[in-house]
This record gives sequence, C-alpha cells and structure tokens, in this order.
Amino acid sequence: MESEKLTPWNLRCLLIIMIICGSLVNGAFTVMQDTWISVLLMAVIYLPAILVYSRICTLFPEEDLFSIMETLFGRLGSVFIILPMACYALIATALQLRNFTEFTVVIALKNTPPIAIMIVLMLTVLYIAKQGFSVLGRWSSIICTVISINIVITILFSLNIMDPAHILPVMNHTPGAILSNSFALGSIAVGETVMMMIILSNRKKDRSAYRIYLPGVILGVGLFALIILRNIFILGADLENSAKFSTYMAVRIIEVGKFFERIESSISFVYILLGITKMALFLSGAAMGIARLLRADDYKKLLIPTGLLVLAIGALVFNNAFEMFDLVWVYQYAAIPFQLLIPVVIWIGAEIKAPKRHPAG
Amino acid sequence: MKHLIACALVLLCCASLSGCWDYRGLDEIDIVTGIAVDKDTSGVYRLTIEIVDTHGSAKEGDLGAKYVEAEGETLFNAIRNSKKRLINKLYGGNMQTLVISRQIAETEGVSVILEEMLRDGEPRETMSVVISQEETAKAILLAEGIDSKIISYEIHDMVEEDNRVTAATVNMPLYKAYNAIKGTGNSLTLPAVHCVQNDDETVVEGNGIALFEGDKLIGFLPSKNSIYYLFFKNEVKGGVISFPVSRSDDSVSLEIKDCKTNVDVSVQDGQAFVALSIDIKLNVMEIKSQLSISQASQRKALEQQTAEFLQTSIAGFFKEVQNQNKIDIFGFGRQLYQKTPDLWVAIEDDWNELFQNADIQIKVDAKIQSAGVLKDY
Repeated sequence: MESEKLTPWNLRCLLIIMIICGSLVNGAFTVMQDTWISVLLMAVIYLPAILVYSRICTLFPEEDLFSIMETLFGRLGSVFIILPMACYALIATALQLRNFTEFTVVIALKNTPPIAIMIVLMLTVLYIAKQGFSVLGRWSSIICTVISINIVITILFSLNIMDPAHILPVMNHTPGAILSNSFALGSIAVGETVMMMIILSNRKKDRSAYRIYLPGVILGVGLFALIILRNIFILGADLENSAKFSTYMAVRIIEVGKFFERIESSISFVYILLGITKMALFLSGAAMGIARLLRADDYKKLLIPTGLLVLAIGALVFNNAFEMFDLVWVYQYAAIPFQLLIPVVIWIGAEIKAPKRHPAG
Repeated sequence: MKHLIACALVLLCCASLSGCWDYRGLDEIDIVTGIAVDKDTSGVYRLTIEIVDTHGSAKEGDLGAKYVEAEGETLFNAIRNSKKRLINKLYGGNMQTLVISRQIAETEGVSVILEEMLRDGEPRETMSVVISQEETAKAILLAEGIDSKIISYEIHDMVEEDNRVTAATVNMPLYKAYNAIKGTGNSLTLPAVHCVQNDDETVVEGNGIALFEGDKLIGFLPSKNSIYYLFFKNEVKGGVISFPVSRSDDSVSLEIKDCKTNVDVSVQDGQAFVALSIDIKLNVMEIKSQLSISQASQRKALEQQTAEFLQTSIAGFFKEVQNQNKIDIFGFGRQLYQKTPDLWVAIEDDWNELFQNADIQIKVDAKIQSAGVLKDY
C-alpha cells in the first residue's frame, strides 16, 4: 500500500478521465442527434452500480478490491472471483491498448506497424503503473485539467461554425433505443469505473467514497455530453454518426482565421494521454489480481509480465478494425458479470460480514 | 542502470516523435492543392491533380503549380495511378478544392466522390467542392490564377469569402455537402464555376449555384439570383443591392453591412407556408438620382423602396424556383423534419408537390446606416 494518500480531487479526476475515454470510439453511437441524451442517461442507468461500488469502499475503507474479496470469501473462495476479475482487467487493458493504437494508425501513423505503437504505449503505461497510485493520482489531475481546457478552447473556437439546430428533432428515437444505447455506452464509460475500487483504499481516511464516486461520475458524464454536443453542433448528426473518430474530425474543422488551424493534434495527444492513464489503472488492477492469486507481496513486480500479456492479447484480439467496432455490442453484455454481478456479490458479502468486523457500524 | 534505461527511452522517443515509419521529408512528397474529376465515355475516371511546384524560389508567392494527370476505373485507383508518373507520393493534407465535372454530377452523382474524400482521412473536411460549368473539370484547374499561381487556393478563397463580398455563389465545404446529401429533408447546393477571359488570360469566376436532387445535378441558379437563395439560408453577410429609385435610369447601389434572416416553414391542412423575415443593414455607396439622403424623410423612403425591391425580387425568385426547378432547393424539408418529425414522415413523399404550391410571406426591415465617408451626395 502507498504511503502517500490520494486526495479526493485526484481520484475524481481519474474517474473523469476514465469516463471521457469512452468518447473516443464512435462505434457505440447509434441514436444520431440524441446521443447526448444517451450519454446523460448513462449516469442514471449506472447509478445503482456506482452506489454499490461506493458502499463496498465505505465498508472496507482501507482495503483494495482484491483484498476485500479475500477477506469476505476466504483464500479458496475468493479465487473464483479474483481470477475472473483479474482476467477482465487484463483483457480490458488489451482492448483499450488496441483501441488507442487503432486511433493512432487511422489518424496519423498509417504506415507504422501497430505493434510498434503498442510497444511504445505500453512502455509509458508500465512506467506510470510502476510509479504507483500516488503518481497516477497526481498525473490524473494534470491530465484532467489539460482535457478540460482543451474542451473549453475547442468549444470557444468553434462557436462560429456550430449549428445548434443539428440536435433537432430532440428525442426522435424511441426511449428504448436511447436507453439501450445508453447502456452500451455506459458499459464502456461508466461501468469500467469498477476498477476504481483498487485505488480507493488509498484515499485519505476521512473521505467518503460516495463523495468521490458521485461527483466524479457526474462531472465525467457532463464533460462527455459536452464533447458529444460539440461534435454534433459542428459536424451534424449524419457525419457525427458516420465518422470513426468524430471528436477528432470535429476539431479538424475548427479554423480560427488563417493562422490558427490544425488544432486536431491537440486532440490526438490528449486522447493518448487519457488512454495511457486509464490503461495504467487497469494494468495495475490486473497485476494486483494476479499478485493476490500467486501470493506475491508486491504487485509491481508483476507489472512487466502482465504488460507483456496485454501486449500479446492486444496484438491478437482483432483481425481488423471492423471487429473492434463490433465488439461494443458484445462488450456491453460480456462486462455485466464484472461491472455488476461480482460487485453485487461482494456488496452482499460485505453487508453481512462488515458489521462483525466493525461492531460500531 | 537507471541512466541506461533513461537513455534508451529518450532514443525511443526520438524514433516515435519523428513519425515512426510515416516520416516523410518535404522533398519526398508532392503537396496536392486541388483535384479535378472527369470521366470519359468509356467510364474511366480522368483526374487532373494540381500539386505545388516547390522547385522555384522558397519565397512565398513564388510558389507555382504543376499538374499530373491520371486515369483509373475508380477514383482511388486513379489517384494511386498518378504515382506511375511521379517519384514522390501525393500528400492530400493541404488540398483546398475539388472540382467535379457537370457530366459526373448529372449522371452518377457526387456522393461517391465526396465519401471517398472523407474516407481517405488526409484531405481536410473544410475543402471547397465546386461544379465545373465548362466542358471538363480539368479546364477549371488549368486556368490562370490572378492573385495566386495555385488556382485551387484561389477558388477556395473566392468561394469562402463570396457571401461576405458579392453573394454570387454558395460556400459549401466538403463536410457540409456530405450532411446535405445524407440529412433528412435537406438538399445539396454547390458553388458553380466557369472560365472567363481577363486581360487575355483564361481565369476562373464563381457563377451561381449548382442545384441537386439527392446527389445528382439538376440545374444551376444564375449568379444574379444567388443572393436571393442565400437570404433563405441566412448566409448573406455582404454584397450589393442595386435598383432604380425613381426613373429607370436613376439607380442606387447599397452595400450590405449585416443581414439576419429567419425562415419559418409550416404545413397546415395540406398547404405549405413559408415566412421569411429579413433584417438588413445597408450603406449607400452610389447614387445616380436626385435623392438627398441627408434628409431623414428621403432616407426613410429609400429604406422603404429597398424593402419593397427585395420583397418583389425574392418573391419572383421563389415563384421561379417553384415553377422551373420544381424541387425544394432551400432544404425547407429539413426544418420541417427538425420541428415536426411526425408531420414530416407523413408528408415526405409529397413534399415537392407541397413546395410547388407553397405560399410565401416576406417581411423586410431595411435600415440605412451610413453613406461612406461622404455626408451626402
């Protein structure tokens, strides 16, 4: 465990980053001009899950996710949930790695072999993960500030090319379609915050987990919706829907006079930074899970082998870009056990066992 | 050990920061500024690609253009085939203009070409797409530029600034053109260009607006009517209004300083209504009459006359579109879809018919602001 405790702001920033990461890939946007409503509804749909995560962290304020599992279900019993959860973290890191590689290849480095980009990304992720959670937390608050400034600047600079009529007609899709899109989007953006449970034990003691999770998720979803609205206002719903990376395309269109154009490079580097941060957390999660299974004392020693595994999975997981975009539709269901079922099981176990550990409540 | 790792990382960064495998020196690329797309009778695409001639002096303004032609069964094929005639690879990131021949626009439509440009990723979404009124699109690209030797840049700037100066054509960048084709109830219009003689040289001139049904060209609006079309789109930011004030040889020229228009489209009991309100601010720039604009009453009268002139002209233009073009070139359907999507679904199939019988109401509020640096005339 880290000696240095993370401030609530650091943790909220990390949450915001994890959520905004979901706005990169357009594959999950299906309700055209109503996408921003889907994004806002994510917070509502995933609220029960967020409350469960917060409750677990409140009941066990000093233990990380895997240690809670072991406390609740014993050495042997916990293997059955630690193993799938570690695998989930591992695969999710690999999927993110592939996503960000695909992004880089499509927008800039068309002739560079994806594996070279993956290795460079992975090295950076490994470095951040190796530095520990206190560095990750502080790094998150820097990145979060950078992305917020970036969003504000791109919105201000695009005011002259925005057309608010692009979001009309509002609610032209059935509530069912909007909700189902919301669920799919949420599984990537909000559901993945389940991994925050590995780092929340490093918060300052007197800070409530609810006060970290709820504002973090609300701010993250709000910024996400702002990004989507900006993209729709600039591009129009049809092009927003057709583009693979609509955020990047929207920013490409911004020109401030003849001097200040091509600010899309700011978007590409910001997204890479967001991805690196999220991957560092997930990789740490995977390594912590594996360390717990193998009874290793320091998960950091397992970061490199885990990173190599991620690299291998990332390189092999998709045959082409189409498969990557299609995965969204499988992922929303595949992620349910990890984002919902396992946390609920832990929560129930925690509610039963926690009072015994802390008689005062 | 730490230093060694740090050194290795720095070296690795150097490798990646230079663009990895995608590094290309300026001397290894040909910077494309514009492409003209034609198709011959056998169905083969014939492209004329304008590239920056970097061999001259490096000083800005001295840069010239050179051209490479290429053929192919498909557009992409043709672009790649150009490499057979070049040492360098084409770089499309600075491309500003895409000229499409009217034959292609009429027969097969423009959406395949626009999609291919967007899909490529290198060309910018803000580039201008124009329709050639000449025999070929190539003729436009091979014309001389007056301000720039690179004609693509000249066409792009001309189109982009047109609604602030002459309002003779429409500015429709690639991404907006794509939306106009795909958007429900929307309709595509693109700038039309032709060649004219200027000081013994053939130069390019904006010449009205190309009208589309879906993605196929159906006709052109003459440049004198373009401003009226732009009023409906709230895109008039400048331009000139000239009309006779009293006798037919007494005329006045007004410069548009600012203009805001609002269009409201509605359908009631099977009848479409269009309400256009124009709020326009003008400067008097030329008077060929006995008008004394320093007098408030005469200014008021001129404002009144301007409003009436605009009302009559726009109403006449609207009738002309209803009777001759017979389709909604203004994209009113889009507004109906956005305001009342259910109603739009019900009337979508009959919309062009409804449009042909639509009633229009025009309200103009003209305000004269100044008369240049002179007090009166």
